[in-house]
Amino acid sequence: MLLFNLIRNENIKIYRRLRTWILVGIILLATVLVAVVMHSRQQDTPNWKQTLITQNQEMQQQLNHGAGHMPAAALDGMKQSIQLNQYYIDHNINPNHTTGWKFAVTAENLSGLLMAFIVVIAGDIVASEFSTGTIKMLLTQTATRAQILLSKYLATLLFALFMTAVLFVFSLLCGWIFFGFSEAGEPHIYADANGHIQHMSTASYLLMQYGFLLIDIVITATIAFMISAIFRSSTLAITISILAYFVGNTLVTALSSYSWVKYILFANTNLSQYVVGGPHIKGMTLGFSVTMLVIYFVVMNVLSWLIFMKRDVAYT
Amino acid sequence: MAEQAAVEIRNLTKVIGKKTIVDNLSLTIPKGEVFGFLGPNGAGKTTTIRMMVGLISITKGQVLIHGIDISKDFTAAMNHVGAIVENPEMYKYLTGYQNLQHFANMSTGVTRQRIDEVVKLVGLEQRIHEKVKTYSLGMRQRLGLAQALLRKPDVLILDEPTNGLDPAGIRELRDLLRYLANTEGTAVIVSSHLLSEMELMCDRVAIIQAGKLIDVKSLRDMVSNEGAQLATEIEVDRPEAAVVLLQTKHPNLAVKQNGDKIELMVARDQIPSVVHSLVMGDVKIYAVHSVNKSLEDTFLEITGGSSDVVI
Ligand SMILES: Nc1ncnc2c1ncn2[C@@H]1O[C@H](COP(=O)(O)OP(=O)(O)OP(=O)(O)O)[C@@H](O)[C@H]1O
Ligand SMILES: [Mg+2]
Repeated sequence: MLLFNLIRNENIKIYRRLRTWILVGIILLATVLVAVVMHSRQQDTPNWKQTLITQNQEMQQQLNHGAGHMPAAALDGMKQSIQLNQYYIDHNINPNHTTGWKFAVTAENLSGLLMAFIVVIAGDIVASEFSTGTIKMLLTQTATRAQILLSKYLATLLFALFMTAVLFVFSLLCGWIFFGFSEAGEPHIYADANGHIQHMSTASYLLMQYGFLLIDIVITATIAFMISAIFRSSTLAITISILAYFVGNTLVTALSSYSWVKYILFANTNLSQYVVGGPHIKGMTLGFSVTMLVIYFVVMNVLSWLIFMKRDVAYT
Repeated sequence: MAEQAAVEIRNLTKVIGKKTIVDNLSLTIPKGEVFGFLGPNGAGKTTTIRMMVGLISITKGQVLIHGIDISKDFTAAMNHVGAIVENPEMYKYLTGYQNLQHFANMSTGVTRQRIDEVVKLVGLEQRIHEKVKTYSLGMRQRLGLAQALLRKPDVLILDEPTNGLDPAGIRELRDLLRYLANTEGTAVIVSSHLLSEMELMCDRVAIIQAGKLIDVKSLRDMVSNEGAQLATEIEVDRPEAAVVLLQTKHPNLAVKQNGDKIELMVARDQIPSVVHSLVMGDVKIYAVHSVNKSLEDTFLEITGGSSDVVI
């Protein structure tokens, strides 16, 4: 009951600030912008079906003639393409045509922006109480420090969920308005961990991406929250976690030839690598990454908690 | 069994690095008393208060609120306590009322009615629905006090509560604290450097210097006038003649002229004979003022800026 009230207080402090709504506004604006640009670039291809039929015939011929001297993977790929084209022809779907669902998949690339905004709130929620001196008012009520920290952490996660939901719902909405509601079941094509061409329905693919994104968001928000709780500086917390998010991934790619890189947090945060494209570093498995994430998650939270519990709150 | 003290501090000590900031402080404050922490800048008053409300760790010793150890059961102990530590800081983007709601949400049993009540008590009705960023220092101090009163605390701890208040505000605060102590039995702890304020506000005062408890004095002991020398001013028509006259008649008194007045240190029971001598010497007397030795004098004398303090 008290915890519920504490979370409500934290929510009030987040949502009564203009800043929060500016961040929400930017997400909405960016999504609309992407939709407008994609809509204006969409070309009409009235002969798409004929093009696909011709393509398929050519590929079939290549298959028939080249069966002996072409690599197996290429043959597989070609077979997949023929199947897909056939799917498009049979279901009367123009693959060059952007659908509402496809747009939402594209708009998910705004997740970098989303992440930055979530980190702004996560990095500020503890540090701002110290910089304004309100921490001493907060800690001289009846709630324990553990309760206060927990309420702030949960409010951060709720905000992260809210922002992600904003992007998800709004990008679908924009997609449906600009490109139509239908074709949720249209296949989305991607290469799997073994380089094989796979497809699943666009709607499932979208949900899967958001699921993986949420894991990434929770981890990144936890980093920002930890730095905020330990160093009491929002600037430091926001800068370090945004840098870590963007540079971390690049760093892992650059160093991917070393096997110790797999122990770096950022090699593991994006679990979609096990479904799409394959792991960053050879030999990494889903089980390994999940274990690493759980370890990092627990260590970061224990650190924030220990230091916040012990800290002398004075001399603001 | 004797009635439990509202606040008991036992051997409270704070060491930061190698510096002892609060040194083995022990105090007992009963219900219904207004108790003052008095000491020069850097004496350790705020540090003591921070330990009492759990903001900083206690190096050694104990703080008991109604017998509950603050470091053992924080929630139960703080349930009795309302506090302001240094300047009250509020959320500037919220209104005063929203701030109070925020703190009310954190404790059980604080109703909307209670919020309205404390707003009235501190005299903020007019501005309570405005954003705190538009408040003056004194208004923020009042809002802080309202926050401290929300839970109807049995123990009210206020660090420099008069800071930023206008004279009317200081008077209101004094009356409010007196009312709380006398009627509701609240134990009130205030710290201040405004010594004259302490004189008017407190029942007892602890004098703290360099983290050590120098003395605890009831204000009646401190400003006693039994047999003490009073600083006395007498307005006369011929001050030069009056000084010469008194120097011959009362050679043991130190008399000096100050404009059209004469000043002297004299015991209360000697004043009639001084006046008699002046009248007999044909000096016209317009007024006689005797000033009690104030807490300030006592305080300065006790701490004295020197370390070899003897009481
Ligand atoms: N982090 C710290 N490390 C070392 N010494 C400190 C630290 N913080 C405060 N002090 C010292 O502790 C002493 C007590 O400070 P405190 O704020 O309790 O004094 P105070 O009695 O409240 O003074 P004031 O009347 O100015 O408010 C001061 O001498 C101060 O310099
Ligand atoms: Mg102080």
